[in-house]
Amino acid sequence: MRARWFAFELAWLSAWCSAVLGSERVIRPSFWTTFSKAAPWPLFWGLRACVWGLNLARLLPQNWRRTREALVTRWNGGNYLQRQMVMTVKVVACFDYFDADEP
Amino acid sequence: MNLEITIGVDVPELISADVVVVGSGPAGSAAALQLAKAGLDVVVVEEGSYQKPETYKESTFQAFANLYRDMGATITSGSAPMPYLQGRAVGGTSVVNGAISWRLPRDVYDGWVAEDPAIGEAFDWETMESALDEVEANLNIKPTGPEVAGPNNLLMAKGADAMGLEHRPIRRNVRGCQGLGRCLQGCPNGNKASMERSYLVWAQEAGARIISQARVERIETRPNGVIATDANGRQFRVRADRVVVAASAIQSPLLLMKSGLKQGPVGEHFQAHPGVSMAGYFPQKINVWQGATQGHEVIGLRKEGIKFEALGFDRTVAATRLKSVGSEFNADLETLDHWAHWGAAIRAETQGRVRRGFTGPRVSYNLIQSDIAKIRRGLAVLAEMMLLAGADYVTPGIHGFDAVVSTIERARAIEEEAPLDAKCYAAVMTHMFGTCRMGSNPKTSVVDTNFEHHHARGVYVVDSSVFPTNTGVNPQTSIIALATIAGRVIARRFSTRPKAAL
Repeated sequence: MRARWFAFELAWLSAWCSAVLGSERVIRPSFWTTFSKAAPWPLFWGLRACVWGLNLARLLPQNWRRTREALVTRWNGGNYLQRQMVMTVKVVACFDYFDADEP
Repeated sequence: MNLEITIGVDVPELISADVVVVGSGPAGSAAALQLAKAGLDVVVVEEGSYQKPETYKESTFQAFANLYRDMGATITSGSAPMPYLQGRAVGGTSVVNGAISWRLPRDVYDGWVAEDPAIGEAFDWETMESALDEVEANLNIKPTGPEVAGPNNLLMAKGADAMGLEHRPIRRNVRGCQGLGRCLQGCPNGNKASMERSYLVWAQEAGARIISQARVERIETRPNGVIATDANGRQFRVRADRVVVAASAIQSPLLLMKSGLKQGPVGEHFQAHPGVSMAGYFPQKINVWQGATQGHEVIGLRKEGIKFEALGFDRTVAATRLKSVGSEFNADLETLDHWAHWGAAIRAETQGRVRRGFTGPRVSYNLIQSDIAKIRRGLAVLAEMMLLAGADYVTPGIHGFDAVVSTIERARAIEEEAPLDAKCYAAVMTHMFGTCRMGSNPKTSVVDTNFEHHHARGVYVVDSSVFPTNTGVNPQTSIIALATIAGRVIARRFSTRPKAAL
């Protein structure tokens, strides 16, 4: 139920989190370890699907050469599924971003 | 005020008691206290772990990972899935809620009795009031003082005054609150009178035993008891003449179904209070993460089924509520301390159902049009109230309506122009009821008016799943009061009925 993420998938996740936050960030290993243990499988796999979905969307002709930030901005006002995908990444990005302040 | 807890892995394969209580939240703790005080041998089994207040982190992520069921990522199914948050810890959701306390409204009780007079015969209004008085005294329930309210709460009072709506400081179960704004992450000072710092402690002092980190998988009947699984996956049994289920309106029906107790409308009639929020940008600093987490409410529209509360969030939740992404979001983060957040909770007429899913409960819930209209009205009032309180602009968060609203005219237009489509709103499910409803007719209810299962003698349900309807107000006080009554009923029946053979 809970297969480990490949390194390239984590890199993708970091890139999408950076796009949503509007700043360069890398998902912290300590955050990812806690998240991986605590997240229920629907969230774990849902997030993975969001990352793959966003990546695949960039291959579509209408999104070709669109930056990640431009894509999430567009999808943030898009249809229900697109909005949920952006929101899922945004929640994870904020979890990581604000958790980093605390020892 | 520390509890002595036995962790599931340290429990032998078979233990015995007079009563086993499933769940240590408000209902389980209150019932356990009454049963233990009656001299019965009580064992409380809780899935979550026990954590001391000083270990609670400010980070919402850490709180979600350690204190919430499935990291707060539990969602309903349906056309517009909604998250529903439940605590998973010794003390249940009381550890992570806003400590809001409301007495069961008389009109709600009267509605229950009108539908089934047997409820009024089992416990009249005087009994209910007496139990509510007891809870209020036990948990030091008092209005939030202005010294800990903070700007987010005080501005709501200003906005409500400007609109002529009845409002008041929220009554909360706290002792010595310092307004840290961390109720939803667990109070690090232990100032919230949550169950692991009140009823559960008193139950243990009366003799109850508490087992944590053990999930009850199944109820056994004849002989009665439960089978639980510890953190290592090992199973153990608790044999008890009486089984008291208090695992929440989601988990309780699921447990009954897993145990083969599928008679009656178990899992049906699921009701809740869907909540939506409004964010408003103010010229002055609000610091929504400081002050009483939820310290003020507007109750002028309660009879319409809409209630408003100030919402204190930590920075994580406040940030996710910002409408923007990308560099605009990054700029908005710089102004995070200027945003206020207020919410509207709807007494929804929508009924859903809880069923067994692939790995847990599957909660089906599709908001009906009249409830979406209430959400719209709630958001319109919130927007107007915020603008009248001095907000420069508000962001309703409604897909298909203005992203930013800065005039009273556009605020009022939300009620007419916002789409009647649940997918356009970011609603969160709060307060859940009705999935093992109480009543005299076994065809239309799951437990009788003595809280006992119609078809399984010695199995009781005492949490909000027995409520015949939702209440329109925060239910914790009513849950504790009703479970107190239930605990007394069960204790009385225990001494007057022959025990089942063990």
